[in-house]
Amino acid sequence: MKPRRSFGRTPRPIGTLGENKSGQKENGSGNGLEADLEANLRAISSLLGNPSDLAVRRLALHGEPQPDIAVVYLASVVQSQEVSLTVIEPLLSLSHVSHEAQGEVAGPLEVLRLSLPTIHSIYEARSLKDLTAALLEGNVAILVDGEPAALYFDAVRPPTRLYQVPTSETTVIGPQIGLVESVDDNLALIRARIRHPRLRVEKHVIGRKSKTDVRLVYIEGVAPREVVDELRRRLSEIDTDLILDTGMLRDLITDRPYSPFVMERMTERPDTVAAEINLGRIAILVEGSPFAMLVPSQFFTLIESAEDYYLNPLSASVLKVLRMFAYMLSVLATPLYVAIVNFHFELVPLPLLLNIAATQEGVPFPLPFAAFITEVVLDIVREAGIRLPRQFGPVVSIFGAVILGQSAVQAGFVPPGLIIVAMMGTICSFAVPRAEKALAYRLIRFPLLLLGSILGFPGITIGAVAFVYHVASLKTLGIPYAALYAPGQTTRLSRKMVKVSARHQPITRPLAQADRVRQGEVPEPRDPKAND
Amino acid sequence: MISSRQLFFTIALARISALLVLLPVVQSGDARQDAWIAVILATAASVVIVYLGTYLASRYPEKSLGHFASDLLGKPMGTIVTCLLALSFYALCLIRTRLMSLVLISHFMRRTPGWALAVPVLLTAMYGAMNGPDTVGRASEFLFTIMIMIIVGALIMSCIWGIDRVGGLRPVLSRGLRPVLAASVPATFLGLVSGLQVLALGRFTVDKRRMTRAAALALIVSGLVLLAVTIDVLTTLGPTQAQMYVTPVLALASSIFIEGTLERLDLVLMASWLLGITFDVTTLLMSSAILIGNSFRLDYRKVAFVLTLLGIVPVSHRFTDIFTMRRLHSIPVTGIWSVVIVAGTLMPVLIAHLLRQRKGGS
Amino acid sequence: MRRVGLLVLVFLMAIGFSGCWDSAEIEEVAIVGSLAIDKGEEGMIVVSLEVINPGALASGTSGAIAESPIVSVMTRDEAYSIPAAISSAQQRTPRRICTGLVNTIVVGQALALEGIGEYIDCFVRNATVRSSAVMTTCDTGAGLLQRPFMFPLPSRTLAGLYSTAPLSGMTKAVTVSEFLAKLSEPGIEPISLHTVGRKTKDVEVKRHGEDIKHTDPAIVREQPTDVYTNLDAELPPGSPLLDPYKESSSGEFVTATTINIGIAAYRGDKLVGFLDDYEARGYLWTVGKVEGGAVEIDDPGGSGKKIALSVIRSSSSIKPVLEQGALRMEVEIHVDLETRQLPMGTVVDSGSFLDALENALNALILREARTTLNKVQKELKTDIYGFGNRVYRTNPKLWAELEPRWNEEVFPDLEVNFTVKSRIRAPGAAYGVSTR
Repeated sequence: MKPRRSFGRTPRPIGTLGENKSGQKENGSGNGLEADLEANLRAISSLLGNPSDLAVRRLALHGEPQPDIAVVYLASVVQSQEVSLTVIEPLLSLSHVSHEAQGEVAGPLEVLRLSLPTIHSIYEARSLKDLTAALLEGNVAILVDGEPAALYFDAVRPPTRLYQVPTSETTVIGPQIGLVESVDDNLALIRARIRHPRLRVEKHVIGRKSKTDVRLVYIEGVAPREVVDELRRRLSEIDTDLILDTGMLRDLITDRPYSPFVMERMTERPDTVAAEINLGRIAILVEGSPFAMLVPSQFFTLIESAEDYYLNPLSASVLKVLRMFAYMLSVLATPLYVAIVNFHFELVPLPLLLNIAATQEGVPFPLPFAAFITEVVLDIVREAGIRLPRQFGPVVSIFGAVILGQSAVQAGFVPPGLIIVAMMGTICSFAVPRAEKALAYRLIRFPLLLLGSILGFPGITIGAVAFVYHVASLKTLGIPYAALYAPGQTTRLSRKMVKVSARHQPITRPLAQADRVRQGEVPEPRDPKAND
Repeated sequence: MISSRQLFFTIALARISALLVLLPVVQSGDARQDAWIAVILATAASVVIVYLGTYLASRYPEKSLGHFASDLLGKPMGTIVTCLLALSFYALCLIRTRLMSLVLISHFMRRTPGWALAVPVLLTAMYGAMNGPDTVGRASEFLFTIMIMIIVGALIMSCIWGIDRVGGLRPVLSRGLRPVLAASVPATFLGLVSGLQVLALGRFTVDKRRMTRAAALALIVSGLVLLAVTIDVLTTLGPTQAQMYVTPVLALASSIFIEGTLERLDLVLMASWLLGITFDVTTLLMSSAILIGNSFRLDYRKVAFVLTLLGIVPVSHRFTDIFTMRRLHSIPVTGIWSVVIVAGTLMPVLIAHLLRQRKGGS
Repeated sequence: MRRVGLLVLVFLMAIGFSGCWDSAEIEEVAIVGSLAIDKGEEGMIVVSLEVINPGALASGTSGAIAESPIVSVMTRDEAYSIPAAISSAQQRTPRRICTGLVNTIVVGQALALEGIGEYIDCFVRNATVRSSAVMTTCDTGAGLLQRPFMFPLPSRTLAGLYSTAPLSGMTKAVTVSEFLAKLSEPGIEPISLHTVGRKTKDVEVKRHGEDIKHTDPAIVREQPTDVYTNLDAELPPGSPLLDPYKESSSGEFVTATTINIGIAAYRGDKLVGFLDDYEARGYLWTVGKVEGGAVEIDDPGGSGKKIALSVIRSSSSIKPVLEQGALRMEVEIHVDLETRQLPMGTVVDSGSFLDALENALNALILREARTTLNKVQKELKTDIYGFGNRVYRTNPKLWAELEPRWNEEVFPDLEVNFTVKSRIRAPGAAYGVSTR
C-alpha cells in the first residue's frame, strides 16, 4: 500500500493544535526530523499520545562505528512476523554499515535501503508529520541515529478472521465490513478510517481471571476530557472475574442498569465507530467481541442508521422521520388501540367502528387481556424466530403468524383488529435500526397498555409524560441521555430529525473551540460547460 | 442546570396549558367579543411583573428567592415572604390537578373517580420534580414541541373544516374598557404565576443575562398562541356561547370534524392539554419545593415528596367541585391573590434590594 | 426512585383490582347513529334512537357469528326530557346506550314550532354528543329515521345526504354548534336543515293564526305513505327497522332521492317556516354560501332554449348604511360560474354574448334573492341573514336602540339593496357547439 495521496479535498487535520502554520506552507513537510534518534522517537511517541500498540525495536549492529537503528511500527496494524523476516533479520546479518563499503557518496540510509532487497518498495520521510502519517497507515519505519530522515515501508497485516458483512446492522449501500473478535484487527479497521495523530488508543486489562484486553479509542480534544476521565476511572475500578463481551462490560460501567433505555450503543460497523468517534464519542473494544460499544450515546441515535452517512440528505431525512414514527407506533399502537376501542370509540369514523365492533362480537376475553396475551405471544414468536437455526426460522414464522394468528381469529379468540394493530407495532419495531435496543425500549408498552386499559387516553398521556421525565432524567457519563447534541457538537432537534448536507455541517472541532464553523473547503458546484 | 431556551419552553408550556382549556379571558368577566384584547392586556401585565421577578433573580444568580429574601429581609420575614409565593405555587398546583380531573370526568369519563386521574398526575409530577430542574427543562423541549404541534394543527383544522363563523371581533370596546380589564385579571394572575417561577428556577439557569429575555419571550409567545385560540373561539362559537361552556376550547374542538378521518378533535386536544397540565403541575410543585427547601435549608426533593403526599387528599377528596374551582378562578379571588403575591412577595424583596443597592452605592 | 416506582405500581394494582370504570367493551355498547325528538302527549317528547347492531353489519368472513340479521333497531320513548327518555330506552336495551356517535339530530316539526332551546341545551351539556352533528327538522322525526334508505343504516344515509346536498346549491349543512352560535349571537337567527319526503302531503301547521305552507310546487301532494307519518300507529318498543331489501323487492324503487332537503328558519328557538329549493338558494345567494349546483336561464340569443351554468363559488358582503337616519343594507353578491349546456350554434367566446349572459344571470340571482328576502321579511319575520348582527358590529349604539323592536318592526321593513356581480369564468371545455 502506497502512502495515499487523497484527491479532491485534502484531508484536514482535526484540531489545529501542534500544527505549524509555516510548515503548512511548505506543502506539508511539517517539522523536520532531527538527527538525534532518541529525540525522534520521543517526538513520534508523544505525537501519537504514547499509544499502547506502538512498538519500537532497537538494533545494535556489529562493527565500528555503528549508528543506532530503531524499527518503529504500530503493532496493531502491522504484521509483526513480516517485520522480523524482512527487516530485523537482514539488518542483524548485515555486518556493518560503513561508508567505505559503498563509497563516500552514500549515507547510512542509502546503505540500508540497498541492503534490504526483500522489500519491494521503500520510501523516505523527512518530516515528523509524514512519518507519523505513514506509521498510522500501517508502515514500518526505520530510523538511524544521526540522520534527519527515516525509511519506511508497507507491512499492513492481513486480518486473522475474514471480515464479514455485519449481520446485525445490514445496509443497502455503504461499506459491507464488520468488526471481528480480535481487538487488533478491529483497531486496524478503525485506524484505516481515522489516520490522525490525535486518535488515542488506551489499553486496559480487566477481569481477574479473563484478563481481557479492553481498548478505549477516541480522538483527543474532540471527546470531552471529563467524560474520558470518568470512563477511565470506571474501567479502572472494575473488579470482576470475566469479561467475555462488550455487553458484560456495559453492565459494569452503565449509569442506570435497570432502565429500559440502553444508553450505550453497540455496533459492529467500523464506519459507524469512526463516524461516532469523530463526533466526540468514545469507542470501547473488547477482545473477543465483534461489537464496539460507543459511549456516551443519546436517545436520538435510536433513529440513526449507518446508511444515513451515505444517503443523500433528503432520503436520509425522510428515513429518520419515518423511523421515529415507527418507533412511537411500535410502542403506542396497541395501548392506543385498546384505549380508543374501550374508551374513546367516538373518535373512530362510524363505518370503521362498526367493522371493529362487528369483529369483536363474540370474542370471549376482554380486550385489554387479549391485547396483553397477543403482545406476549408476538414477543415469544419473535424470540423463537431469532434463536432457532436459520432453517427453522420460516417454519416458526408460518406457525406463529399464519396458523396461530389466522386460527385464533377464526376461532374468535382474538379480534382481528387487535392482531392487525399488534402486528403493525411489531413490524414497526423492526424498522428501528438497532434491534437490540428496540426490544428493551418497547418494554414500556406494557405499562402503557395497563394505563391505557384503565384510564384510556388520559392514562396513556400521563404514562407518556412519566416516560419523558424518565428519559430526560437519564445521564450517561455525565452527558444527558436526552441531550440533542453529541458530546463534541451542538445540534438542534431539527438537526437530529433531518440530515443536513455535509457542506452545511460544522467540522468537529476540539471542545475548546466548539464554535460552529462551516466546512471550509467544499467544492463549489460549477457547470464545466458553462461559458462565463 | 437548564439553558435559557429550556426556561423559555418551561414557562411558555406552563402558561399555555394553564390558560388554554379554561380560557379565563372568555369565561370570567363580561368582555365578550373584546376578550382578545384582554389576552393582550394580561400578557403585557404579566411581562411587566415577571420582568421585576427576573430582575431580582438575575441580581442573585446563585440564589433563589428562598435564599435572598432571608438575606434582604432577615430570616423570619424572608421565610414568610418566600412561603407566601411557594404556597401560592403549591395551592395552584393542587387546584390545577383537581380541576383537570373534574373537567376530564365531566367531559369524557363520567364513571371514573376523581382520584384515579388526579393521583397519577400528582405522582408523575412528583417524579419529575424530584428529578430536578434539569430533567424538567429537558422534558419541556419535547413536550412543548408536541403540544404546539397539536394546537397549531387544531387551529388549522378549525380554519379548514370548522363551521361558519358567526361571531366577530367587532365592535371593539363597545362597552368600555372596564369589562376587558376585569377579564384580564384571572389571565394575568395565571400568567404571572407561571412567569414568577424564575424566582425558583433562575438559580438553575446557565445564562443569567438571557433569562429575562427568555421569560418575557415565553409569556409573549404563549400570549400569541392564546390570542389565536381566543379569536378562533370567539368567532366560531360566538362570545355569548363561548362564555357558557366549562371549557370553550373543547367545545370548539368538538364542533370540528373531518368526515371519515377524525371524528372527535376534542379527544385529541384533551390528551395534549393533559400533557401540558401534567407538566405545569410538575413545575409548580418543583418551584414550590425549591423555594420552601431553600428557605428552610432542606433538600427540595424531600420537600416535593412531602408536598405530594400532603396533596393527595385535597386533590382527590370530594369537598371541592367544579363550581368551587370556578370561584377560585373568579376575578375577585385571582385579583386579590395577585395583589398578595406582588405586594406581599415581590415588592418587599425588590424594595429591600433597591435600598441595599443604594446604600452600597453611596 | 425505586420507592416512587413501587408506589406507582401499587397504585396501578389497586386500580386494576377495583375494575375499570369507564372502560366498555365495544361489542357491549349500543351505538346510536341518529336521534329524533318529536312532540308527545301532555308536554312530553318522544325520543327515537336508531340503535345499530354492528354484528349484523359484519362484512367479510370473520369468526364472529351474527346473532341476528337485524341491522338496526329503533327505540321510542316518551318523557319530559331527553335524558329521561334515553334512560327509559336503556331499560329495554341489553347494551349500554352510547350517544357519542350521533351524527344526525332530527327534530319533529310540531316540537320545533314550540321551541327547542332546552333540547339543544341537552346536546351541548352532554359533552359526549358531538356538537358537529347535523340538525334537521322533519314533519315527524321518527318518521325520517324509519324510512327505507339506500344504505341499511338510516344514519349513514342521512349523513351522506347532508354532506352532499350542499352541492346542489340549494341547502347547506347546519350543525348543532352553528345553530347554538346563531341562537346566542345578537341580530342573527338560526336556521337548520329541513328534510321532507317527496311523497308527503302538503304540510299545514297553524300557529298564531298564520299558515305556514310549503310553497315549493315540486312537492308532490299525495297521501302519506304507510310507515311515514303514522306516529300514532302501534310500534312495539325495539321493533326492527324495515328491511330495505325486502322493501325494494316488493317492486317499489326506493333510494335517497325520495328526500328533499331545504332550510328551516327559526325565530329564537322556535321554528317559523321553511325555505325550499329556489327560496333556499335565494337565501344562500344573499349570505354567499352557494357551493355548487346548476343555474338555468333563458338563452339571451333568443333560441328559446335554456342555458345551464354551474356555480363554481359564491360570496357576498353585507354592509349596513345609515343615511339621514334611515338604515339600509347594501348586499353585494359575487358569483363565479361556468357554462355547462348551450343550444346548438352558440359560441361563448364573444364579449357581447358573455355580457348578455351575465346580465341575465344577475337578474335571475337578484330575483331569487329578492323573492326569498320578501318571504323572510314579510312572512317569517326572522333575521336569518344576520343583518342585525352587521349593525351590531359596525354601530353598537344604533343596535342597542333598534334591538328591542328589530324582528317585529325594523327587519320586516328594512331596505335592502342588492348588487349582483356574476362572472362567467370558463366556457367549460369548449368555446362553442359545432353546427354544420
